[in-house]
Amino acid sequence: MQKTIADLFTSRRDLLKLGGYGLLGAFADQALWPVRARAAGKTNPRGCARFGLVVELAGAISHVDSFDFKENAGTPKDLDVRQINSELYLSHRLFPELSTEMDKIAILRSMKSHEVVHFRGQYYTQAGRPLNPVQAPEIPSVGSVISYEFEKQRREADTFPTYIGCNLDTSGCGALSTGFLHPRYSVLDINLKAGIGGVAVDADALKVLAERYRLLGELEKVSGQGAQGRDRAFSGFRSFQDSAYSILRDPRWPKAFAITAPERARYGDNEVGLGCLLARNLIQADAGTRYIHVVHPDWDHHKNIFTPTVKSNHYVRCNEVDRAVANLIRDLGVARSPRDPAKSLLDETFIAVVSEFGRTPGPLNGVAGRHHYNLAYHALFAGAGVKGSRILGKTDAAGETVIDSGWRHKKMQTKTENVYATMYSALGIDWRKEILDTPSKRAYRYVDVLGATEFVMDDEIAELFV
Amino acid sequence: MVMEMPDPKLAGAESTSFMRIFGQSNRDDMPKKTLPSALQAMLLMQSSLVTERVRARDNSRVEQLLKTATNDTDLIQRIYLATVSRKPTASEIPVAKKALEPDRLHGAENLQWALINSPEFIFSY
Repeated sequence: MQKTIADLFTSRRDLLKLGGYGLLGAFADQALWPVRARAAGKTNPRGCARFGLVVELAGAISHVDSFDFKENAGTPKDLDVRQINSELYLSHRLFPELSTEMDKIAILRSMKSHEVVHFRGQYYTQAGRPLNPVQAPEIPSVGSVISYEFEKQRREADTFPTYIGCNLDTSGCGALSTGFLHPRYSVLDINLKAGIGGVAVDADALKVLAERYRLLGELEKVSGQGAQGRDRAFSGFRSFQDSAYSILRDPRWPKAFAITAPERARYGDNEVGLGCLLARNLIQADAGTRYIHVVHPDWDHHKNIFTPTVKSNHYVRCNEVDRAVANLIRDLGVARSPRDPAKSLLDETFIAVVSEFGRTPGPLNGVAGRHHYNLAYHALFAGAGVKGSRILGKTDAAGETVIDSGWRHKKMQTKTENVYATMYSALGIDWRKEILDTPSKRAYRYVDVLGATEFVMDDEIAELFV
Repeated sequence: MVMEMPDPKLAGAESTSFMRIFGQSNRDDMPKKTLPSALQAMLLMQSSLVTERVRARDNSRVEQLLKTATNDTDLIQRIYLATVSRKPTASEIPVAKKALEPDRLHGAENLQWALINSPEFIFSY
């Protein structure tokens, strides 16, 4: 089921008329950034990262068979579980490469989601808040908010979009829009496996392109169509054309997509491997991209989770993310930052490996798989000062409930909101900021305390850094 | 249905990915809408699907029009009619005429490209 948010709401047009807001036309000539904003509580963003990266294991990884390992009736016998340090047991069969990088990674075992359905769960992971159908058309993705916040930091020479996605189109909710924010803060979603992405332009073609672009501009000027009658999508597309033109003329763009055969072999020729490789290249290029969201699909192992003959099983998926993330951490770790030679690019990048929920612990189900499970699961963090070799939070012996969050609010489970509060903080953004210029006039708070079923704490997970 | 359309001249991976970025549905799911993006803009500007199409050769539309048009104004009118289904406005004609100099063939290709990349074409067709 590949529904996008847009599909959902064309059939609920009546709901959209609520409050009389129409997005079309409302923002055609809006200034690039809404001006009415306020801070709704004190924060002290860390600002320890220049880049943010989210790797989303979409479909949901089984937590008890990975980073919150619990031996149970369903555990296969060939996982080769080894002790990594005093607290951590990790399957060598599943994570041979990450096993050597755990000194840079912190595991958080106290995640809880209110969602049990992919579409809503993956929406939650991209938007940082629960899906509310009435509001959704105006809600931007986290990446778009970051793109908006970083707009002022873009330099003359920056051509790459601030926010780039990898394989967002494979996720259940597709790539989320900019909501009430200007379309220029949109994600550029790349799907390397399907060959969508890098376009290289040679010198002659560039000359022709320049001529043509100039002609396009001249025709635009005289075409006699004024600002009125132009809706938001239209003026948004114009800004896309300007960005596209700059990107096409930048030799750094095709270079970011140049993947050598040894690199492809090292990271893995799959969605997450290529996504992490592109992320590394974009971070090294530092040509405008500051936030990347990679989706690794096909983790939805309801059936045959450990069956070696099926195309996507837990072994395959874990090995893929293992090689991709381990090599990314290694490569970023050895690359010196051009801004501060004492730091590596890993020191400047906050990485979160997340999933929309976990999978049922205990014995396997009737079709040799595990179903969705939201009451306990994990997330991994690395880079930007995150202290590695750590496990925060604890679940019970079966991996069914969170018994200790592992940080400030010991008795509360960690939510996706906290993950993004931490991301915003690492990037130096005030996550309690509210924007008041929304179509519905309802304030958009970067991290909302109104969860779907309860109030949520909007604190960052400071304990990751100390 | 988009899927059943005859393949563009240049078939293969590039045309498939081109169509996907513009929201081609796959066989199983509902039609998928894709957000407009810089990627779409990039493709319209530089994908060989477009750059080859606007070439004046192999009996392409541009080549045919160049052969049959009686003069510059006529050529411009026919390119407009063929692409955006309307005649050029009085203010567009001089701009288009200038584009045809010094190289008429090259200029015609540029004009065809500019119309395909114009907001009017992208949003109405």
